[in-house]
Amino acid sequence: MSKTLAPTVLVVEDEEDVRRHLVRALRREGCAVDEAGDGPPACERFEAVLHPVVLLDLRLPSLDGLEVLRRIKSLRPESQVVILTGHGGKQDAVKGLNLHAFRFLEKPPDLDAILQAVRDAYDVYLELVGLEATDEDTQGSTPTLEEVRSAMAAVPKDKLDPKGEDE
Amino acid sequence: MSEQRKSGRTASRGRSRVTYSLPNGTPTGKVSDSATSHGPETSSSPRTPCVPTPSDLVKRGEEARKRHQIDEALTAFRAALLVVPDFCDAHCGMGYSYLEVNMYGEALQHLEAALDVRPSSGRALYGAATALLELGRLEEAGSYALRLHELGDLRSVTSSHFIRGTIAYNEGRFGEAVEHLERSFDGRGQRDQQRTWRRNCYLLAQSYVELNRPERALHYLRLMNGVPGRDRRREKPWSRKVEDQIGRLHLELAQVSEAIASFNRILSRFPDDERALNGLGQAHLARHDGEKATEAFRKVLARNPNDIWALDGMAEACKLRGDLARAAGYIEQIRRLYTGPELQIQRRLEALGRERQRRDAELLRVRNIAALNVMATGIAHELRQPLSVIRLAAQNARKDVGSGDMSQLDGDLADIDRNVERIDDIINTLRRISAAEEGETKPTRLSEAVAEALTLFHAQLKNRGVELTLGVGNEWAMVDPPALVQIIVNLVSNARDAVEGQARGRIEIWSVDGPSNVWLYVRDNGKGMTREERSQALDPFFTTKTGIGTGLGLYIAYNLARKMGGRLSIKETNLMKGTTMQVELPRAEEKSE
Repeated sequence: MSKTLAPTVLVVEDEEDVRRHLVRALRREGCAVDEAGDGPPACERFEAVLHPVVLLDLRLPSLDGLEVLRRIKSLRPESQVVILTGHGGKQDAVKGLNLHAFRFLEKPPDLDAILQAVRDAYDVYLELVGLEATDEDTQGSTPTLEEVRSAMAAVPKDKLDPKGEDE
Repeated sequence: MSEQRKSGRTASRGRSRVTYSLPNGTPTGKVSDSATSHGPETSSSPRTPCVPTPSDLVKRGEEARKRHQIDEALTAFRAALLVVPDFCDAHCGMGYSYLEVNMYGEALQHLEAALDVRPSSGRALYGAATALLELGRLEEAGSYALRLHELGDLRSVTSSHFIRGTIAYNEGRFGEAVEHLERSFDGRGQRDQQRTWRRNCYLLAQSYVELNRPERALHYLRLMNGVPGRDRRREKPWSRKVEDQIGRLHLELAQVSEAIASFNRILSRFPDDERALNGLGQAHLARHDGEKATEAFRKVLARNPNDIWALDGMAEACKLRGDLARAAGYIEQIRRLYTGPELQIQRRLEALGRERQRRDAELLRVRNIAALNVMATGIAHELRQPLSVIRLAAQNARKDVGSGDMSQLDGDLADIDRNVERIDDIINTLRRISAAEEGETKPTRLSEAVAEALTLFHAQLKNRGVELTLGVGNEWAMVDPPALVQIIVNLVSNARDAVEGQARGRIEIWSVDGPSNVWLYVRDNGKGMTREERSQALDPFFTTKTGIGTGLGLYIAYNLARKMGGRLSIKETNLMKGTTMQVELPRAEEKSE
């Protein structure tokens, strides 16, 4: 593992025991971890923090996991969502992949597989936002305001309309 | 405007009075307007009204149906329904017409539509129950019969007894059948000599035969079977089959001359009837009249030389006359027949029948295996959650131990321990489902059980924008309260899942009080079930929901209801329109604190 695993991760899982163990394992790896036990608080949390990686259980009490996935992706397409599922439902897998889920893991999940998925997801995230994770100092590769401005100057004006994306 | 209305009334004079009201803005509104504007002309010739109103159409349909011109009847009813889509009488007409041509599925659809419009229509209830009977859905037929009983008027109660008697008869509970059918017979009196009255008599007779009470059976068979040929004008329907049974019952009761009269009655119309000839022969044998017996059996043998009954009778007749050589000849012929090709064919047919039984059993077994597969999936799913905890706890602990951290070891082991227990619970629950212990039943207020069950749902339903309507009255049922709550939880959670994705999901829960039972209904406006889903819905581990649920909910609820002496059934389900579930429970008197 050449890259430091230190994304902020949101763990969405209604089963408290499972969630606690996931959070603990991620923290041990140095992640900052947020947690939610249901869809609506998860969405709320995500909206506030915009976590790079989300660990999401598909079966949630009041809001379907797929719906949470859809909202996350529409709020921030670069964030990567690793899905935990209690059943190998093909339909859900297809729907999830159509919604750009990063990976599907079946329960009971292997901790190492989860950690690996979170790492891989973070790599993809960094790539998408145009950052390369470095061993020591991820801060160093954050573009300065000047760099951002010059990058934006290179883009034709009409493509910069922020609302142009969705409409 | 008022003038138009007046002329309209003139136009419809001589026809039936229009008793329904047209919904505003339907195309018919216009049609009848233009019809009324022709008022003066049409009033002179009331036999040819320009546009028949829906109730005219229904009347016309009913007349056609009574003449057994079903196509014409259906056309008329259909036309009425085009104008007023939820016209109860027209739906009833459609239903009864389909009943007449044995299209029970279609009949049921229309009768249920009629009941949607007017839930207390005795005619529709009776028709629907009849259709369900024919479709072999006895349980649902029974619940309609009970609703019919609730209506309270003599006709409805009579019909209800008839339906319930028929169900009991079909299920082999002849004592009960007799009770119901006797009551429905009394209710009918001599009022009608219709098909149903005859059927009532027939079923009563067959039930008495099964109960080994031939005199009673005879009584009803004779009641229903007219004597042929005496007075053409007052001739009642007469059936050869029934007459044959009458003859045989007389024989059984050693009333030989009555038996002979019966068989002769058949033979006067159908001189070659082999069964009747054999019966006649037996009757003559019974009064030791060898000559006449021989005569009867000979006629049979002339047509069918290998008729075993006749040969046997002949042998007896010869013995009577002391002609033992001849008797031996007939017996020899029977012996040869038993090894001959005819009998071999007979035997092969029987073997085929057995083969088919074996195959049916095999089919059942395959189906059980399929159920088992579904079960395996369901259990696997339930077990995954605790297994997840166990695995994660173990792996976390190992990682900690690997780095020398023992601080959380105890907690991890506790997690593992607790979840092993949980898995054990799941397995125990599964085992309990099939062999549930008897719970204590006590008078329970339905509304309380419903309220308790709903505590689990309020937030969810509100969250999903599902509208909940409650119409549970002050009924008391004799039940095991936690079991009833569990049943309701199951039904409501199914309803909740069914309205998932519906823009305006609606769940209604209401109750109905009866003399010995109470009913609880849960209706949703969700996706409904296909015919196949409906037939499997109560099977264990059947589920249409990928991912959630084990497919045990309804099965458990069904068994719980049954254990408390109640019944759970799918009252109605229509694709895209929703499902109504019904729970019948024994009624309890209000607890006097």
